[in-house]
This record gives sequence, C-alpha cells and structure tokens, in this order.
Amino acid sequence: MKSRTSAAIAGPSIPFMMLFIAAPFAGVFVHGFQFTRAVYETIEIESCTPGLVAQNCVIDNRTRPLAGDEGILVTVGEFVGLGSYRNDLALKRLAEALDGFSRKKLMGIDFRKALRFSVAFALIALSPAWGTGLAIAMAVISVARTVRGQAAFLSPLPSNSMCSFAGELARCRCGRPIQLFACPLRFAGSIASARCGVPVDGACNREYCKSRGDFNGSGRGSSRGRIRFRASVAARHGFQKQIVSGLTAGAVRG
Amino acid sequence: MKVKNFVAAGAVTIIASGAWAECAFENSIPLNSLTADFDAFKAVAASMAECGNFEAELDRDYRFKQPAAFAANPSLYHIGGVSNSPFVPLYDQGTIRPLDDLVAIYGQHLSPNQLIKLDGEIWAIAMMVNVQHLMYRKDILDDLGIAVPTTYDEVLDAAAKIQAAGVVDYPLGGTYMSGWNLAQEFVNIFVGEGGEFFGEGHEPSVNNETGIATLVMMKRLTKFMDPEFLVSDSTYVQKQFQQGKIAIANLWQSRAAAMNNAEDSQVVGMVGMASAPMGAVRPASTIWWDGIVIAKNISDEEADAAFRVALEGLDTETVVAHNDAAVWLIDGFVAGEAAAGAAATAANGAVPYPAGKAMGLMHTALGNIVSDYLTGATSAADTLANVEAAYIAAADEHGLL
Repeated sequence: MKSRTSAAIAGPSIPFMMLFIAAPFAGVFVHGFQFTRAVYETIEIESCTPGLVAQNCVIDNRTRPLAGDEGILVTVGEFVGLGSYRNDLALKRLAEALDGFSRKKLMGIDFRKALRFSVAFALIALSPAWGTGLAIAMAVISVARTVRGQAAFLSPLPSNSMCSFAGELARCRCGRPIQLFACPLRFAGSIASARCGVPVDGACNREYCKSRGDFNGSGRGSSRGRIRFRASVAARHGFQKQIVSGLTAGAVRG
Repeated sequence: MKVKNFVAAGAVTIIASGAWAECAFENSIPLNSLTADFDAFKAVAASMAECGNFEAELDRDYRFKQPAAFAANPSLYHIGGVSNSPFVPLYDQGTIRPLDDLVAIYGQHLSPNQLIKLDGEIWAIAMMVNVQHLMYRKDILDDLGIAVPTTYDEVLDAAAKIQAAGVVDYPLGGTYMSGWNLAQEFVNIFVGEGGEFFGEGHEPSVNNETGIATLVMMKRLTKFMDPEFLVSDSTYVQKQFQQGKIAIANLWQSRAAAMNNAEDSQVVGMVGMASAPMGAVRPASTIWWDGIVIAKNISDEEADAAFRVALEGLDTETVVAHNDAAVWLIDGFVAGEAAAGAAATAANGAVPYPAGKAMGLMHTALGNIVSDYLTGATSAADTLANVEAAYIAAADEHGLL
C-alpha cells in the first residue's frame, strides 16, 4: 500500500485517538499529582432512631461532609506531587514486609495484587493479541494483490475480538469488552494507579468488580465509578426525556 | 389488581396502572421507588402500588445505586427505602427532604418511634426494626438433646454434635459473603465482645485482642459451613434453611417468616428463633431500622403524592396482612413467634449499628480484607493491620483524619 493511501486511511482516526485516548490519559496523568478531598464538619447533633421498645435519642458528635447545592459535596484540591504514588506503592509497608521477608505481609499490599493482575493481563491478553495481529498482518501481505485492500480492511476484526476475548478471560468475566486501543492503555493505567481490577483472593468475584467499578460509594477507585454511574444515569435520564419530548412532538404534529 | 412482576438480574419491578379500590386516594402523579428486595419491602411496595401510577424497583444493590440516583436533578426516584447505614450518604449529601410538614398534614397517626430525627427535623419514616439473631432447627436440636446455644462457643459445640450425627449437609450457615455481609458479621461479633471501632478522632482500633478474637471465632465457625461461604448472603442462607441443608445460623429477622412459607420451605414449623449469641458484653448483633425517605430534587406536588403513597404502604392494612414479615413499628403489629428472636436479642442489650461516614469506610475495608484471613492468605494480626491501612488510606482520601 502506498504511504499516502495508508495515511488517508489512518488519518481521520488520529484526531479522534487524540481526543478520546491521548487527552484523557494526559488528564489522568496530571490528576495523579493532585489530591481532592471532601470537607468535613463535626457538629453536635441529636439523633433519634427506633428501638424495639422505645425510641433511642442520643446527642453526639457527628462528622459529616459539607454538601453544596444539589447534593454535590464540597471538595478541595491540592497538589501532592508523588504523594498518591507513594501511598499506592505503600513503601513503608513494603519495607516492613521485606525486612525479614514476610510473604504474608507482602501479600497484603494492594499494589502487589494490582501488579500481579497487570502482569497476568499482559501475558494472557496482550501477547496473544499482538501475536495474532502480527500473524494477520503477515497473512494480509501474503494474499494476492487483488484482494489485499479488502483483506486489510477486514483484518482488525479478528484481532479486536481476540483482544476482547483474552481481556475478558484475564479480567475474570467482570468487565466490559476491551477495545483494541484500550488494551495497552488499560494495562498502563493499572500499573500507573494500582487501582483497577484487583480480584479478591484471586477469585472470580463479580460482586467485587461491581463494587469497585460501577457504583460503590466508598473505597479506592470509587469516585471514578460514581462519576461514571452518575454520567450514565444522567445520560439515561436525558435520553428518556428526549424520547418523551420526541414522541410528544410527533403526536402533536400528527 | 394488575400488578406485574419483572424479575431481572436480582431486581424486581412492580408496575401498577389503573384504578384502585384499596388505596385511600387515587394517585394521579407518576411515582417510583428504589428499595431493598426482602419480604417486608415487597409487601410495602405492593401496598403502595394499590394507589396507582406507581413503579417500585426492589434491588438488593439499592444501597450502591441510591446516592447517585437521588443526586440527579430531577431525582430518578421519588421514594427510597433505606436502613441505618444507606441513609447516611443520602442525608449527608442533602438529597432527601425533611418531612416535618408532610408528617404534620398526613402523618399524625405515626408513632414517635417511627420518626427518624436529626437535629430536630424528621428525615425518614421507619417501618420496622431488623436484627440478626439465632435461628435453629428445633427438631434437630431436640433429637440430639442439644440446648439452644446462647454463646458462639455453645454454637460450636452444637455444630460439632450435629456434624457427628450427619443429619444436615452443614451444621451452620452464615452471611459470610465477601464484602458488605462479611464485614457485618465481623461488626456483630466485635461489638458483642465490647469492641470500639475508633479511638481518638477517627483513628481505627480494630487491630487488637478483641479484633483477633473476632477473626478467630469467625474462622472456627466457617469450618462448619458450606465451603462456599464467601458467596453466602442472606438469601443464600435463607435457602439453605428452607431446603433443610443447615441447622443453625445467625440470620436477619426479616428472613424469619420465609422459614414458614410453605411454597418455598421444606422446614415449615421446624425453625426456632432465639437471641443472637452473647459475646463478652452484649449479643453479637446490631439493631437496624428500615424505612422510607423522600427525594429532595422533585417538585413539592410529587413529594406530597409520594409521601401519601408511601404512608399507604406503611399502613396497618399492610402490617395485618404481613404480620410475620418483619418486626413492624406500625400500629396493628402483633409480636408473634417470628419476632421472638429479635425481642430476645434486644432484651439482652443489643445496640444500634454505629452508622456514620467513618464506619462506612471501616465496613468497606473489613468487607474487602477479612476474607484474606478466612482463606488462610494472611494471619489475623496482619489482616487487621491491612484493614487499618486500607481504612486509613480511605479516611485520609476522604479528609477524615
């Protein structure tokens, strides 16, 4: 294929790759040096809850996050440099575990689990995907010149599905299908943040993935999950509204 | 009555439309709710549906969905079913509304015990209390001459005898599912032993003798359970009981009525209710309440209608028809045999679940990490050190420390 032709094929996807892949990745990288925390207030408050016989009313100090309009919590962001990375690597605990080499202590460090997952992911999902990609490319080159163009267009399909399949395997059936481009990115991302997809005691735990990934209100990686969920419910709601208004408009016109 | 039930992915949806004779008023505003999925909420939701124009979603993952769903504007749900702990994020984020005005107009008949008050304002209407307590097969204990256990040591003795007799698949059941359930079991035993989760400020204090004793007891109990205990939630244990596979479990009172449901249960009339096993200080259980909240991000008209529909679900009629489904706080409830275990647990001095922001993070840390000890991956002390480390990281991230 002429280089100009291949540039014409690949060209249009480049701005989209920049927009949807490179830019978010750069954003995550920059945010890695920042830390956002909620602002809490401790107030003395009387709370009454039911008992089996009579109501329990107690006055105690209650710590609650400050909420602004529409229930969005007030947060402050600060630059912490490599602080979050130090936290994730748990250097102090790592040193304790290595001092006298306690395997069990080492096992308890989250980053180790994330690393194990990432390595497994690289071996199970990435190697075959790249191997398959290479094999397909070789196959495309070797086919007759007359059908090479069509073959080149179709070639991403098996490679993509291979990646999804292997990715699914590696992620213990818990995730969404992984796209070709997302594979190396996700791999890099999990190493970078040690925050995604650590299977609980190596078991295939759907609940666990759900709580980490989708809509758990607490724990690591949760804010992203919450944002994603919020975005999805908002999208769903907006979509429903559109359908309803579309139908109404149609009905009025009809 | 046209009530359609859809069951999909662990969630049940009840949709109602049409005219309703059994509701005090006819609801003309489309309303919906998101609640837990146990029997009491099924009864309440069906009752609410009698008012018409109402869609109820009953989902075991309600606690994870509610905070974001109620924060949307307009809120995705009008009515929420909550208990102690899921109530906290909704209240903290200010996505539910105070109910004083509505109670003044429509809720004069509510008992003071039902009003969940914070800072003098009413934020939720409780309908029932729920505790975990001992359920046991009366026939098996009688046959083997075993007295009803009152402590976990006695539970272990009884389990050993039941195992030796080989009358059931596994002597014990337990809500030990990794995550929320497992953490709740830790909380029960830890609180029973007199443990306090936090020291000065919000510093964790679980890595101590009480914490280790709690873990050791949990592991001893699991030896008598189905080896798949890390996927065993309340519904799983309920089914184990109903199918005659287990003899003893510390299970939620809200599951008690299901034991005598002839459609599903092979052990009707055979399951006895007793207090949760006593720890060193109090029973290994915590008191929870369940009730309803009304979203803030909806119009006042919708809130008005939602409150009236909710009260329709929480009326005496519902309670009389489903007396044994819960320990109701509503007029008309007659404490029967199904409530005996809850009453005994409360009489023995069980305390309310210590719900709050820090406790939520601690619960999550426990739920994610305690299984490491039960599977043998880490020692008790290391497990608790990991729990504290995870809690500190989360609390720090949330700005609590």
